[in-house]
Amino acid sequence: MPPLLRSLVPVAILLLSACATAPVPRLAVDAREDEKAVAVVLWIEQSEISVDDVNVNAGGGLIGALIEAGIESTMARNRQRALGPLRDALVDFDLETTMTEALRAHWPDALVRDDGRLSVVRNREQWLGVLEGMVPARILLLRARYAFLPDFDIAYVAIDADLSHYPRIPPEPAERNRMSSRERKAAEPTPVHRGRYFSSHVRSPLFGPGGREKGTTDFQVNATRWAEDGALALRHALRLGANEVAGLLQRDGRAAVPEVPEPLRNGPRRPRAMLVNIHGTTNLPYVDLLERRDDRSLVRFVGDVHWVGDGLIWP
Amino acid sequence: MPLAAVRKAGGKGPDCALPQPTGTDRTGPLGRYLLMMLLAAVLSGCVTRDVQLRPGHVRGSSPQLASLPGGCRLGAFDWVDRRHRQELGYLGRHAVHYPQLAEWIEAELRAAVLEDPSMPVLQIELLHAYLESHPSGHSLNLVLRSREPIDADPAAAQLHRGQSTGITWFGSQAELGRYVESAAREAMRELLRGRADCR
Repeated sequence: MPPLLRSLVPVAILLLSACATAPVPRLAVDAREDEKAVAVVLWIEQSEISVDDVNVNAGGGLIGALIEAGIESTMARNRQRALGPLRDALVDFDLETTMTEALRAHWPDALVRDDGRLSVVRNREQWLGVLEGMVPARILLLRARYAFLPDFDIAYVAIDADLSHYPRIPPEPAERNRMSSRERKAAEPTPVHRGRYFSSHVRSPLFGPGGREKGTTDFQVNATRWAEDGALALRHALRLGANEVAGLLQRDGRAAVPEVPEPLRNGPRRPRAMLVNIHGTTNLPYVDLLERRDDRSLVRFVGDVHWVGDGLIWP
Repeated sequence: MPLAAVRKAGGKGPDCALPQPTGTDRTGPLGRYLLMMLLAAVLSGCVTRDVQLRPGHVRGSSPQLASLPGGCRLGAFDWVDRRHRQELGYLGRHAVHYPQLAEWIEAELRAAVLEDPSMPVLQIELLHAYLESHPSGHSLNLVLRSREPIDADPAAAQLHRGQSTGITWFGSQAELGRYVESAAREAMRELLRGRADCR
């Protein structure tokens, strides 16, 4: 290779490195006990069930921003009102207890020591308080969320898992600014294992017999359906959801989440399904079908693993 | 009307006419830039870690808010704060607190009703008060629960929900205080409608 071209190789690598996505950190399946987390911290910030926001795009500029703000505010207000009866019906539903029980039933033994502690926090102050008694240590932080999609057609439970080594309590911005770059790097947590797991549920099938009637796609109609019978269907969905995501976390740590078999990956027999309006998508993406159980399917979508009901996939 | 025509007619120019330069601008562009940077550095120290609401931010901040109905009679009540968390929520990274929230609601309720010993004794609980963030604003939800004595049927407990959603323009304490007041007053009105005799 001519010398000039050779000198351009590092430049090309530098430029192209921006195109490569960082690999998701994974803890080895046969990790030693001292490589696992000493504790699980379950972070549930919300006080009641929530609803995802609608994304409005009214164009750029000041006028567009003002229109966007007005529309978003109105839509948020309407959805908050629709949530009222559902929140009332769930006043005695305790997601913290439900998730805690699900985690104990599906203890992520490949990621956490058997004698690992389980704590529940609701805000940053409590999180730092838990850290203070443990660092330096590896800790599995689980951020949980239970909510509806903006049209109330889907209720979901989700966990964002982050197993990291914390050398110290993460510094506040003011302290970080006073640190050298080496000190800052030494103070940052080191990611060891990451994953996101979802469990999604519909009240009525979105396709096929018994599907949505014409003109009944109003979010208020969907919210009313979830509220029927004291929100019994919603309670069941949230309990099942907590157990499904805890189960996925456990399996993922054991590298036991199924993948599409190698011979089928690039051929016409690759098991796929069309996913309906999941988590903000407006198109109907094809996803890998990993497993079937009763009326639930395990799919992989954009790197995350989802349990979905029959009403959410086609065929 | 064009400025030249106004001057010709002997009238004053419009108030928005640009001032004519009167002399050398001593600051210069670099000086103005440094002054802005210095101001930004000084003012940034004013950004506190948490947002603390005080009674003045919440009480009577908006004349449009309907006052509680007057002349209502209610049984004696015990007031209990059952919230799991004391902070209302977050504005970006900053926690929002209103330490006097529970005592303010209790005081408002006691001031709005006449205690009637012939009516059932109640326990009124503050279950939730939390702020949710949206792309352009916030919602504040506040939930009260009223129940008759503890040995009564739990199903007879009533929930009284107040909710306030809007665009948050500046994230000021007064703005956040309005959310709190609006949601709390709605919850209190619902409670009085459900439990009080307001004839």
